[in-house]
Amino acid sequence: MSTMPNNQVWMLFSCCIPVKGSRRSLIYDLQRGRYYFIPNAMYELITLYEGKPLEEAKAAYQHEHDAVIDQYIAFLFNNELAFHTDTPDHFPKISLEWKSALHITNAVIDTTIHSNHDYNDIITQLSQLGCAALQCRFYEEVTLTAITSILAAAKQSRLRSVELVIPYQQTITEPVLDTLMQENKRLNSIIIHSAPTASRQLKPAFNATLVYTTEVINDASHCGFINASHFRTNIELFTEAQAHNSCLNRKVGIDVNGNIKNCPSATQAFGNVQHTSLESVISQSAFRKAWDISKDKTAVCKDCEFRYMCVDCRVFVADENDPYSKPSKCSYDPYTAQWLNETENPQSKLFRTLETTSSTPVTN
Amino acid sequence: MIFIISQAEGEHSTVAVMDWLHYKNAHHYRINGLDAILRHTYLLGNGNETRIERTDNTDTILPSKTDTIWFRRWMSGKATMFSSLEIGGDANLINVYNFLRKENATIREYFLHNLKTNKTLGNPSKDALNKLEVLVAAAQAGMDIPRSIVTSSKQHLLEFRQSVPDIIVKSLCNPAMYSYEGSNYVSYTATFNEAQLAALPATFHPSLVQENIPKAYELRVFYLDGACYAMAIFSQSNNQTAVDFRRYDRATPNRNVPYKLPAELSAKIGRLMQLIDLNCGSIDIVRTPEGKYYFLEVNPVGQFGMVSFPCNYFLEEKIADWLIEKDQA
Ligand code: SF4
Repeated sequence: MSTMPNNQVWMLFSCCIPVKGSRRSLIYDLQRGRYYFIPNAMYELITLYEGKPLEEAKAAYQHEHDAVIDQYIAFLFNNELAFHTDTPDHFPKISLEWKSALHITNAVIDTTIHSNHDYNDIITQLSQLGCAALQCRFYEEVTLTAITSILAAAKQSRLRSVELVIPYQQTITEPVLDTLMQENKRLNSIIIHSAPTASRQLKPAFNATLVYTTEVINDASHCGFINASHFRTNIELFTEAQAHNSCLNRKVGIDVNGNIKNCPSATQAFGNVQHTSLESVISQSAFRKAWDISKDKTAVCKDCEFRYMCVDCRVFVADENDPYSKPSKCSYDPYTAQWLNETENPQSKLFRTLETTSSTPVTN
Repeated sequence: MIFIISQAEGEHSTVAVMDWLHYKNAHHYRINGLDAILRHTYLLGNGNETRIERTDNTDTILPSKTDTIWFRRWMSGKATMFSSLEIGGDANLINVYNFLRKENATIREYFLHNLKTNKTLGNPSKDALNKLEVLVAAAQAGMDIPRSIVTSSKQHLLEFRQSVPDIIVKSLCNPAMYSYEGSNYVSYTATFNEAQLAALPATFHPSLVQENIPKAYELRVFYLDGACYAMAIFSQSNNQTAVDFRRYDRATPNRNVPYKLPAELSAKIGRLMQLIDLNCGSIDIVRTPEGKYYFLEVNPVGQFGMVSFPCNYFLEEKIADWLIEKDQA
């Protein structure tokens, strides 16, 4: 770096975006799907002096922190987050605009043995609205015939992916599931709950995954968990989360009784799918209100460095009377940068390392 | 009505544009090139308009109703093939294959001829551009191009190399693909070292040889009727600051970021596209460490999704808007 000619300045690749939290900051590498913890001082250096000669930054801090600044810059280059250029004007920031050509991007339909859904009709409506992803959650036993007919309807639709959540049943063996995946290209995830043993298999031949979990998923309360393993660092979520809710935006849920909701776990219903069209519901401003509850408007989350990679939950919240309160199933405290429940935090050791090294950036 | 001509396989970009047309309630119809040949009956006009009917009787195309056309691609599939044994040797096989290709090409020409309109995005007669013509047109438009020769003579190649020491050889048209014993191969752009040059015979198959342009980074520009959307591509091996790039090699993709073209360069691109009669396409450019831009090539049916997504440009919507605007005009 020291050999760089004078007219060269340093810049972050515009797909690498710093986000400030209360105690520390992150650089989101949206292209490579990674993130890096950085001290807030480094966030400041980046936002104030990116694209300017390094000398200017050092002088601004009265040359008292030259070594730290060099260390920060070295960190950016070692992780390929930054580059040198003599034409910084040619490298604009990436636009953070989010939009979608789909009126609905994803849907969740819950089913028990008492449900009476007309899947053909629902899938036709979803297809009209452009829905790309569908999750069908079965809390109780389901027949293979029922599954096959749902998948047949999906084949004729604009749906691009289907996820099945079904209870463990001895008759639905793995070869049966393999055949389902083979015959239905859009079926790319099957989750078997209440299974005797847990396992997870990638099925590259079918472009799908098959998961067995011992967890018993028997009602709509099994959702809304926030932990680091659910974080996703990509441009779609990052841009959508700027002004929208990262879980509910453009989502529609149908509960076990056919009630149309923002999510099947939600309490408020906007009509029943048996006599109300999905289109008429999603055009109501009351229904769309949840779509715009962004992290920036949410208590605590607005100060959290994970806010644009964390998938929100608006159903299980800290204060039921406050639609802007923090998800209740999150144990992270951005003001101390600690997970209260360590088991939800696969990186707790790393976080503690950060706590003890105040000026050294730590990567995940 | 908006009429989309594409291919069946691997066309996420076509679907994404159709999503926008759907969202904006624009009436549209898609046909894939292979279907136009294999699954349509052409009832030739006899004083009246030619009708093109689907062989499953689900639809009829009346060419006069196709006001606005997006020519995205034609086809990915191959003409029907026979095994060489059945047909009495390789020479016969080649003849039959070429015959079938020409038969198909005749249907394609007739299909496109019927649709002819002045509101077309893409140019059906330019889906296989002549690389050499385009290079010369780029120079005419004011761009720098790598010094290039096409030759079959070792003598001429050696003379060229005296003024251009660092050379590469590449194909004149799209790269060739082969399968051999279960593996797939594709022809690629290669550099030349001293030993390889010396080993060349006096004459060889005519080859395009070009000056190798050193890269600071590459640009991929999507051009849409006067507007340029550019992306810079920093490839690993050229990132001088990556101390340890070999460690990441394949696992770490290139950096693709939005780029603002100098106005002068955009103007030259516009001039080039006019010269070669294309209103959309992808243009490859190299920026040297000294800051010079070199034109490399134009791909008339380029994958704009690979520019649109990383740069968050929403090119799919821009294409849909272009089609809707023309269709309503
Ligand atoms: S505080 Fe909010 S943004 Fe941060 S991890 Fe918890 S739920 Fe996600």
